[in-house]
Amino acid sequence: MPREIITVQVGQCGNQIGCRFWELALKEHAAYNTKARYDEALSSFFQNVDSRRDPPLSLPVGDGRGAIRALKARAVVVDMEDGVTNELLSGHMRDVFDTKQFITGQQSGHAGSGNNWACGSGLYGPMYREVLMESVRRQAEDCDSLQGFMLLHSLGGGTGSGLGSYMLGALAEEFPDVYRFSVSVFPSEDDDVVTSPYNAMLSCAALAEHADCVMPVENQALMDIVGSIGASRDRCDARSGSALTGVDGAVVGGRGGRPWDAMNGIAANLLLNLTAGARFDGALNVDINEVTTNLVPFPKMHFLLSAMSPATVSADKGKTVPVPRTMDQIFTEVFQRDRQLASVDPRHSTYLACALMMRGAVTVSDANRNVERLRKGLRMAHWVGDGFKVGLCDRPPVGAPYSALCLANNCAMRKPLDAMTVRFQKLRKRNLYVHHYAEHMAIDDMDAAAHAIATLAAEYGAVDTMAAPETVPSIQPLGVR
Amino acid sequence: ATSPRTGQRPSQGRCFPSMPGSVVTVQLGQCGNQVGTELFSTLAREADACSGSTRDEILDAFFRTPNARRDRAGSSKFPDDFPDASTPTARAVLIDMEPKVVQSSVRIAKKSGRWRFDTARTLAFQSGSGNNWARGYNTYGGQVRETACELIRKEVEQCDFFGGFLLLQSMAGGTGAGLGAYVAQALRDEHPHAPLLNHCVWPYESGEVIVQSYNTLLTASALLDCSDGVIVAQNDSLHKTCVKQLRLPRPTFTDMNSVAAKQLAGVLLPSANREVGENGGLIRMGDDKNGGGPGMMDTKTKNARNGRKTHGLHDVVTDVCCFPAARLLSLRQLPVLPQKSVEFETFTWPGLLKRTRQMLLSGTTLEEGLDWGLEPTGGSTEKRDGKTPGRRNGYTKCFASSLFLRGENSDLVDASAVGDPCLYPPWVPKPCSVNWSNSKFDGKEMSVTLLSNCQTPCPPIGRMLSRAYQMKSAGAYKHQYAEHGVGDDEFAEAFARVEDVLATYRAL
Repeated sequence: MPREIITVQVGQCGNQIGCRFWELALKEHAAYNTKARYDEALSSFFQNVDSRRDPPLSLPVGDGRGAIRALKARAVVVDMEDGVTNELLSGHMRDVFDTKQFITGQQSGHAGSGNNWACGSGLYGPMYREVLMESVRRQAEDCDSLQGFMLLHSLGGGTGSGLGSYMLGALAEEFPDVYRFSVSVFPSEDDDVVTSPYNAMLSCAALAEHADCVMPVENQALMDIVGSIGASRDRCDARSGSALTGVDGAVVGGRGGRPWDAMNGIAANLLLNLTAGARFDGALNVDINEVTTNLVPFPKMHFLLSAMSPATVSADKGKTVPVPRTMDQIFTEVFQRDRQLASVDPRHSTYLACALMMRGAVTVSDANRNVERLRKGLRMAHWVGDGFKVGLCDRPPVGAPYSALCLANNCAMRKPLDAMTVRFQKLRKRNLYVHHYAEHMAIDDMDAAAHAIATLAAEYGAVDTMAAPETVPSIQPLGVR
Repeated sequence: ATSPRTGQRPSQGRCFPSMPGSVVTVQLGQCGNQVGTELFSTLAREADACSGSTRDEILDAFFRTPNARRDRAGSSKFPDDFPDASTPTARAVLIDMEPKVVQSSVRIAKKSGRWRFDTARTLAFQSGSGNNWARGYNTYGGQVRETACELIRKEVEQCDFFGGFLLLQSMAGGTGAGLGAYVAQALRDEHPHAPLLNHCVWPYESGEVIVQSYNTLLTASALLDCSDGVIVAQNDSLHKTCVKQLRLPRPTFTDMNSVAAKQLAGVLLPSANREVGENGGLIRMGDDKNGGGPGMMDTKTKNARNGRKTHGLHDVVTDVCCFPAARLLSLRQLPVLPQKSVEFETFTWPGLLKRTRQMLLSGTTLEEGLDWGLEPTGGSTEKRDGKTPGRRNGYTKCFASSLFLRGENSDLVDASAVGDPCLYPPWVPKPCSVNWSNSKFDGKEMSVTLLSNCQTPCPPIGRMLSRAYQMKSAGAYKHQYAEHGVGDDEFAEAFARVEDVLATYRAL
């Protein structure tokens, strides 16, 4: 009995990550599902479609032993210009998608959102709402038990941020009981889009309001991680066939491969590792809704810092990964600054909650031993005590014997939010570009969003320094009767 | 003394026919199902190791063999996962809010070839409880109640003599804890006279789930109200047992579950109750007129006194839970050693019982590192210091206990080491009940299992309470629980009830 996740990829960046994600997902399932059976793990991301019938029939999982006919991704692909989506439709992933899943502005002759959040949200949102929600509804009907929506987008542009935010609100309205997760690419300091501070701020406010869980990812951090892999690869002996490769065989690091592939691959791996506990068996399964319960102690504070180890892009089975890691080492790495997917240092701020999702041959003793060892170096909120959420999944990722994903609710998240506010105010003070936004939205909403994010950052700050109270009220028993 | 709040339990003071009853097990959540699978594997193994009437007793109590009693002609109706006509089917209902664990439990049972779970007695949903007690209890409880109770009722109807419910669950998660508490209360409502025994796994103190203090608090409060006995099995203790005694450097949950299952089986397998003297030992020859040397009984007396069978769960709980406000139970078992060392170690009954006594006094469930200097002081009327965490003079106090001795000559063993009245409060009429069985357990020449109603769970409960208070005062996760109907009032009630129970134990 499957528990499906529908991926909603919006905008250029969202679709690039999405494309990488589907490639990696197929590779992972192919590595484990050698008999080409449509089992439950596959059904969480893919439908099994029999296209001999008209309309094509989506086959149920049944006993998990039916043959695969044609796999179609459970996805809704949205973009207002057709460059990336055309690539998807014509590239080697085209069979995984159905044109009905694609909603592109090209259909009405529009050309992009002009890096304008208000355009994406205020103009295209309502214009395409029916079409978008119809597509989502169709996907949802083909699900037995929908677990959640996964939104992939960036915050700096117009479509991913604006239309993505609008869709999040629409999903919250129509499917209130279904979890909404997002992997959002936050713009970096030197983003080349001038209006990105406005776009990011407005999207962030929407994410705080409507999403259940947000995993921010920063380009700078991804670039650093990819760079460190390349550097370590250079240090090893260059044995033929043992190079660190990207998913499609291209070499990581720009030598003959597309440089963005590796970065997007890391974000895509994040998704795979996050959902592994729900898809495969394990000693301690962790569902996506458990992530929310354990990691979100206060409403709206659901921006989770993620880190993974090993950070290699998923290599093909059979190719060696150059740097071996002992199990304890991967635990240590996920708490290091240079493995975080956002450019923050978690060690100097308070951890409100932390979850470790392990894959592979990791036992509960290994997890406990390492948690005890590492906890001393972490500053945890006083009321968390010793709380750590641990998940154990039996299936390791392709190419490594085990892996760790750390999701932490850390007050260091304040830093990107504050930085966002600063950049926003720099433009807003001088009313730069505001007239573009005024066309499709009320300017008061902009300020309201900024206020909301500033409040959220302040809340993080307050919890960061919250001291344990002197006495805690407790109930005194009257005595034995 | 009866507590005015909880009142008299209906299951106590009732007479049951002198046949050991069948136990219906309800496995809830991932932990409950994993422990249950281990438990039934252990029981099936023990049944296979015995023969004759003992084997039939075990099978009858925990399994049913449907086709053995039915007409062969009907077997064509059965789906093809009935592999063999006589494969015993566990008397169990498997419930979880997500399907993977239930399916893998059924698979593991089938693979063993020796027993199976009935797939018609499984209830698995899709959504998962998300580690949220309130969701498991309020939101899913109501939805699931009818179906779950229906399945359980069907299982009960298949028992010739129904002996009670055994609920297996964890206290830290969402389903086992929340839905488990709901199901326990529902069973109490629907079957008010049936004994209800809970086996609950207490999480690692280092944390498996961040909201575990809330979940454990709410579960404990609900179960202590409606259950007849709550066995608390601590993951930390099971882990240490695996590391120190079984010499497993990296125990997995399967290893720990197998230790817990063996402890539970040590209590549940058939045994006979034995008359005990005032000190728990053998009846001295001065007490009756038949001859014989000191410490020995003649055959006639032996038969007369040792005939009463332990009635499954009813006896287990009434012997040990004499006081309605005190139902926290702990399990200890020895010897525990790696399989390959079993042949090379020799044991004596007096040695085992002395160690059991010291384990009880030290409050540990581990054989190693016992403090042999601990001794109970005479009497329990000394000045009470309400603030100490339940240990006056450093030793663990006990309300009552049940000993289960399995192996050769277990009926002749002097159990006064554990039956010593110094260990118990003077107002408990029969603090230590001794049960024996000549069948070997787990291939060991002799083995001792002790089910005690003592202060061992108090320190972890105290720590859990303080963490829960801290989290509550910081307001953390409040909105998650409030969303599903558990607000400040419910928390206050839970705190009050657990504090009450803790005070009862600390006042010993």
